[in-house]
Amino acid sequence: MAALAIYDDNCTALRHGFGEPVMLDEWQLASVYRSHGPSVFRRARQLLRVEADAYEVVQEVFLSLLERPEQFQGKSSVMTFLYSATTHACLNRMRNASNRERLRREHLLQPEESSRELNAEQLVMLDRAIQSMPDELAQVAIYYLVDGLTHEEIARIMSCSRRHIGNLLTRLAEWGQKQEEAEPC
Amino acid sequence: MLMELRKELPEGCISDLAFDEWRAGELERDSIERYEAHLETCARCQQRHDALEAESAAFLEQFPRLELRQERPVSKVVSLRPKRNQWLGWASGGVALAAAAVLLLVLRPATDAPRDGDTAEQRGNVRTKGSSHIGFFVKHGTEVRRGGDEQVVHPGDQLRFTLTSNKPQHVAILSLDAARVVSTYYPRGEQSTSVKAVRDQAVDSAVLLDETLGKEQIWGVFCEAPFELEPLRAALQRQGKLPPLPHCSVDEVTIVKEAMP
Repeated sequence: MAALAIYDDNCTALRHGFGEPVMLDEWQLASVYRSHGPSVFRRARQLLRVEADAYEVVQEVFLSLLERPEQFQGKSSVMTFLYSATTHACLNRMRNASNRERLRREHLLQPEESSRELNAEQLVMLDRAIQSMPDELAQVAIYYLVDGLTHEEIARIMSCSRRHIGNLLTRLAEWGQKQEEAEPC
Repeated sequence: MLMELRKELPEGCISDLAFDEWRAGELERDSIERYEAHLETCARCQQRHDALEAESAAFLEQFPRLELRQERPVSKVVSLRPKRNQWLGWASGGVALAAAAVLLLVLRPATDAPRDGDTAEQRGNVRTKGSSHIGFFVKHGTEVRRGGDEQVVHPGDQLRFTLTSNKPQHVAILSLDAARVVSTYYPRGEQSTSVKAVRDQAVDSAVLLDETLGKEQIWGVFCEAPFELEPLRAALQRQGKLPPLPHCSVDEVTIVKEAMP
């Protein structure tokens, strides 16, 4: 699998800076769906906690790959690319969800399905936090707190250096601290 | 409080990302061996492995294939006659499913037989033989189809080349466009790349066509020994044709780049 092991602090520049477009045609996409689709679905369901929504994310992510193959430029593995795409798709949905939908999700909590073994209260807190924090912190919170990944793994997914991930996690901790301080007793 | 939600994996345990990459066939052999050894001794990871495998199987049983929403365009692979104006009529060409696309690849004539129109004679300044040749697919919007000589293409289309060789050889693909700009389409780097005996093997990259309109000649060079690309580029730039290449065969195709209709 093509992988480019050059990381920088500037994730965005790296993500769009270079690399050849990789074309995935329809039969290749079918193959990638079978090898990678279950992972996309599992993560989307873990984040959205509604199976139908999770499958819509699977469709969205794969359709996007078919329509805009230039997104994946072979700089990372297909799996890390799909982790990133799934995270973005889920974050968009979480943030666009109406309060009613959000409450529906909160009542659909199934902590036993989570590898993280968070209880219902913790999941609600995490869900609300992720929806209200800046995008980059939300991404790193998902990888670190929900997926339980290491700095190195998060760096691969976000195409950043481990140092940058460390900085983001420091900011995440500070953000959480401020929220706690702002909470009424 | 927020950061306390993280549950650290025990030292040496396998993350979900690693399990996912493993199942998707993205791991190197040494990582697989390390994880296999770890699974032998770690109940937690064995349990997680089994759970993820079961989830994956359940997902594929419930959703065995990607069913893209009907209102969205879905790319098709259709067989094209290698003449101009074939862009018209694609939509009526019928839906060619992925299996049909594979058949297109499989049903090509045997590599030892000359392709239609191929001769062992000089074509222009280039010797063309039937045994080793290049092919290509064109991606236009969401549609993918096989291209041919004199294929009409448009800026923004993507080309993906295929290689057919009846023996292990060294290969490169170069082009000269209407603005007399020489490009090396395959491989990247300064030297040819080796290829085994293959039929219609797609190369691992695609070419995004630029805005230069007009005819563009593309050469697939197949040689018995590795060769440097720069002398070929220089000769193309200077003379508009390839120099004599002993112990090599050359296949040539032309694409015609037209403005978007």
